Amino acid sequence: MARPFLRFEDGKITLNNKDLMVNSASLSISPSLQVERVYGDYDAQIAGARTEFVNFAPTQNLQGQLNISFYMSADTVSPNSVNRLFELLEVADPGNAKSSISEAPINGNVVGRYSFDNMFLTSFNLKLEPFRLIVANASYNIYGTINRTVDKYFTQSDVDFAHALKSFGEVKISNQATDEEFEVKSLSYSINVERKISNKIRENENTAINTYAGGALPHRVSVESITSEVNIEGNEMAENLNPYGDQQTSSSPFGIDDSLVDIFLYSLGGERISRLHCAGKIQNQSMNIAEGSHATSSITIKQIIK
Amino acid sequence: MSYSNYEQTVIVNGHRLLGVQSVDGSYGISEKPIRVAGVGFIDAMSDAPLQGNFSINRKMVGEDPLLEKNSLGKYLFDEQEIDGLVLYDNDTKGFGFTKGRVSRYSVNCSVGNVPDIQTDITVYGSLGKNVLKNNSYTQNLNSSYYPTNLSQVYIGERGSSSNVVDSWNAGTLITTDEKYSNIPDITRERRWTSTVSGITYRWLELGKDSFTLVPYGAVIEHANQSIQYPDQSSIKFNVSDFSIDAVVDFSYSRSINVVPLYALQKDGVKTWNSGQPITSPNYDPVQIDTQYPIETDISVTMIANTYEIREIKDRLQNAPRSEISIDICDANDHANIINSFVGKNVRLISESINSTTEEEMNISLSYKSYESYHNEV
Repeated sequence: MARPFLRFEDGKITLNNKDLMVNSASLSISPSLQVERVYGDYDAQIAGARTEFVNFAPTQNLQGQLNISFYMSADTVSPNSVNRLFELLEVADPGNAKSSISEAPINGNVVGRYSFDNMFLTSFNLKLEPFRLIVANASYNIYGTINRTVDKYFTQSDVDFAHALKSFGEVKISNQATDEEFEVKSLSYSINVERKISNKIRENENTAINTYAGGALPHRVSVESITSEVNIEGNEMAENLNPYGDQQTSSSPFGIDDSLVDIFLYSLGGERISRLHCAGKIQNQSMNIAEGSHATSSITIKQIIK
Repeated sequence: MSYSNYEQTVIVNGHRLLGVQSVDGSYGISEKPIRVAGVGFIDAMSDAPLQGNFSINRKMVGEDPLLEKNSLGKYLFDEQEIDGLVLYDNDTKGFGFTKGRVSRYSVNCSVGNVPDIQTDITVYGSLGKNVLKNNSYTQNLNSSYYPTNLSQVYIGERGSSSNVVDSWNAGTLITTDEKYSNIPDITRERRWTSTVSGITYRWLELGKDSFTLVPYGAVIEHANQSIQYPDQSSIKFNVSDFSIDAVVDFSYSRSINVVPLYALQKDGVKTWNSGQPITSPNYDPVQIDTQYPIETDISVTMIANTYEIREIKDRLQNAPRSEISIDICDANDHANIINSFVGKNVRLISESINSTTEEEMNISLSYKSYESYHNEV
């Protein structure tokens, strides 16, 4: 019996020619089209010309997006080992991402039955909650077209997945240790990369670009900025917050250290996976009290990496 | 080996419970199957806090230790954690729990029966074998010399400070597994006479033969409770809505919603740099709170006499409140209250009339009340 629809078990995800254990993926691609309307021939009935639709015209490169959600793991042989992931994320170490996010495209990507190249990381995030498996998310921009390929699968067993039960975190508001009553319900960590595309006129005006579906590709996708952000959901807010985003306990707002958050990821088997670090200023904090629940606070700390 | 129905003992908060009819203990682990695109199912992993349940059904044949109240007249179990266990095999094996919270407490009573108590407990701590096990060793002295105070008793040879007995409580000796494993097999009585003062000192060096292992020795703090039976003549049900009609059965229940709050483990770079995982993950909630109001439901069935069911519109418009008190007394001494229950400011929420060819016409009333945390209503 034919199977026109792809089964989940047969939809292997490969990035940079390396298999990845992904629990959900969303691939989209869309041209940027502009409607072309022109004045038509003379119409005697109206003693003028009618507006006519001619065609859609592309205004930018063909652009797509890939969003994946995946489990992290400790095993070095696992497709989702931290080294593999950071390699695919173009980040050698998210805690020290300043010099390591690459501008090079990620090629050799397959999602199910479709392959594509020219992929660039735009964001990476994960959330740590008590008793939960750690699921990370990554988003990529894609330039160019997609091609059909055959579906594939691979086998994997005995993976030591990252788990919040053995992971832990440390929060220091303005580099001061929080007191014992400060409890954290969840930690969300994210890296966002802003990119800018550059096109060369001569490259893209050459008629050769229309000889394949991908059309014009950016000459360069540069990294404009990198920021990391941590959101702490807990029971307390930072008191004495000053306009500089620091906790000010002295008579001067100057010379106060950054707030620090460290997230230490471990597998359920107790193996170290990764240390995520964010040192910056408090961007906002809030406290919510609602019927049927306890008061919960939210503190957001942002670091400008680049 | 099987264990007959005569061999179990149920302990809650150090009290050996009376009249236990059945006990059900269970726990469940919520797992999340991990499925990966291009692979399929790989593994299933825990994805929610561990919780257990303990349910105890008893006949009311004595004062219920769970009904202890604080100085404000509120039940301690409304806010406090409890622990307990089921002991079997001559009290050498146990199925215990810690950090339990009562989620429902109910009493059912009808003419001709001893009142039934059902207690449902949600467990947020440990649950299973060896929980609350303390492996205490009790005195089993095989010596003609019985010391009178702590300074005359040593576990193992005298001279090693680590061998000094931890406590000497009226002849009960308690030690630890570690100390027990290092002591000689035989108990010896020792003497030493001072050449200066001429005083002879005597002491006992305890060997393994002086101890009897009691795995759950210190768990039972209140073993001897007096058995008191109520009968239908010693149960008093008072409600302000009627006085003459005869009550044939009633039920009383308190439902408590408990909210556990879990938090991430706090630790720092020192542990990370050590390369070792954290030694004690946060399995237990950092806070367990009762979500108020606590709902109390009281139902009563009476043989219809002078009481007449009211018109429903009157109830809605007036919503009058009633007071209910239930005193369950000793059949041999009606002045001795075994357990009592109170419904303050209860609202009548339903009434029903039942008439059959087999029985007298009866009326059932259901009341409900709410208890708040701070704000008395």
